Amino acid sequence: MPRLVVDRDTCMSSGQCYMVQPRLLQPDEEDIPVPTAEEFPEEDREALMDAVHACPTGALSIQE
Amino acid sequence: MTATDDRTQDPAADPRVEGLRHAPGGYDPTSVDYVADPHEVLRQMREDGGVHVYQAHQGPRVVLTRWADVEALLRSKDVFKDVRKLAPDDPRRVGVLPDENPMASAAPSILGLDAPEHDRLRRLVNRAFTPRAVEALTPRIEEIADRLLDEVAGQDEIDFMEALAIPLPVIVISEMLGVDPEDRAQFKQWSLTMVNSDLRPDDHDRIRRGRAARQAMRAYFDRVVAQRREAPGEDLISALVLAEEEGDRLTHEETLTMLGLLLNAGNLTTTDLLGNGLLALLSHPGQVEALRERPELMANAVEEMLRYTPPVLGTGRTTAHPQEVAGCPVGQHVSVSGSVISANRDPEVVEDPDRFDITRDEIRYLSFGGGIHFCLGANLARNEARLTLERLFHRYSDIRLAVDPAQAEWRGGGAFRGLERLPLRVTTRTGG
Repeated sequence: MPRLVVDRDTCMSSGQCYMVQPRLLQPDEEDIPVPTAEEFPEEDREALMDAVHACPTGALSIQE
Repeated sequence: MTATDDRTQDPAADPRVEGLRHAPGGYDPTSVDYVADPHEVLRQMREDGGVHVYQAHQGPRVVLTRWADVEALLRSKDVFKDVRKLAPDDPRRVGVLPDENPMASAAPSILGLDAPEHDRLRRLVNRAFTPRAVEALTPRIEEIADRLLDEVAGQDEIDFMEALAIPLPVIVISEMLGVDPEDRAQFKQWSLTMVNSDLRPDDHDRIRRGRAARQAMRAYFDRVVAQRREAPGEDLISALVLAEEEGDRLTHEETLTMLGLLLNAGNLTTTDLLGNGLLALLSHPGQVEALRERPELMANAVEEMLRYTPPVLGTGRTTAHPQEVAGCPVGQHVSVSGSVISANRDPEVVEDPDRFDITRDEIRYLSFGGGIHFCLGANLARNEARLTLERLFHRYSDIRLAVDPAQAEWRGGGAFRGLERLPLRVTTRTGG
């Protein structure tokens, strides 16, 4: 099952990912996104890709 | 040597860009004709390899027109923005040194810095622009839009730029910064004078006026910062002053530069997003109808406006070392520009890209740039545009262009694309 990985050093806290997919990510107190689950079901793959695309710095990736 | 002489030189004769194709003659970001309708020439360029070179004022410039190449440029760590990395005699430094260019100052803004300096400064202001922070401004932005609409109440023809698109973003950013919104006419004038002088590096009169505007704005912020140090408030200037006083996190010069940037960047681009976006919408009566039936489409409509008619044409970087740019060998310290307006219409990424459709599913665009320089104010701009247009459509039961779209007056030159005027014929909603 796909996992969403956030590279905290690359993230610029633009908030784009949790704006397009608030169900999958939420900001922590430093405004860095944290995935809402360890793993996501297969049917969320497209939504996960949406979040990955939305990141301007390429800080999100999907791992299997 | 004058700029005109420069332009007759063969850019591809420069060994650093040898072998690259020339941009077609119609590609001229400094001309109003190009700004008014750049799409046909950009389509040709995308289909002709997507990598071209042209002679800009200060030497050859590579321009990328395909989505994948523009996005890769914006995220690349092999390019930079800080002109202090160029050789001392490089002509691109002239015009960015404080004495030469009013947009520059003793401390470069985050627009002209690379990691890690950029990141340190950006983090200090980021918090004011997160989705949460911006969402909290919603009622106030609606109030400002309504008040501006009250000021033109009773008129059946209004200039949307003058009535809403120009004043609203300045008022919002002024209030965020904590400066008197009554000074907004002054801010707008400084802002436009500075941008205008930046667009014409060969026009000494404009440069002089721009320099005067920069000095006036600097003196103004110097005063406000001193006041906030005495009596801090909840505003953004107080937050920066606090960061300044907490040690070496922010120098006084950096504070002044940041304030100037926030004021300028918060102005023109949102104004142009509103103007360009409304022009596109009203030029497609079927889309207006769809929006009247489903007002909840407005957020999506703003996304499509950002894609279809962005306020910024493109953004540039400089190669740090010899490298392949979009598959072509390019030498060190070459200017490379990513055409955002072209990438947004790349059929490889966007289906039927020339169609304006506010009901599109996933709307992708590079209008806010990308990489570490991704627009700080993106969430604010989206929110301001959506709320302003919502209030406009709420106030008027009928809104039509009072000009033929083909006769729209575009402002020319530089990286910005926007309208001088947008006259509308409006019918006020009755009974509510």
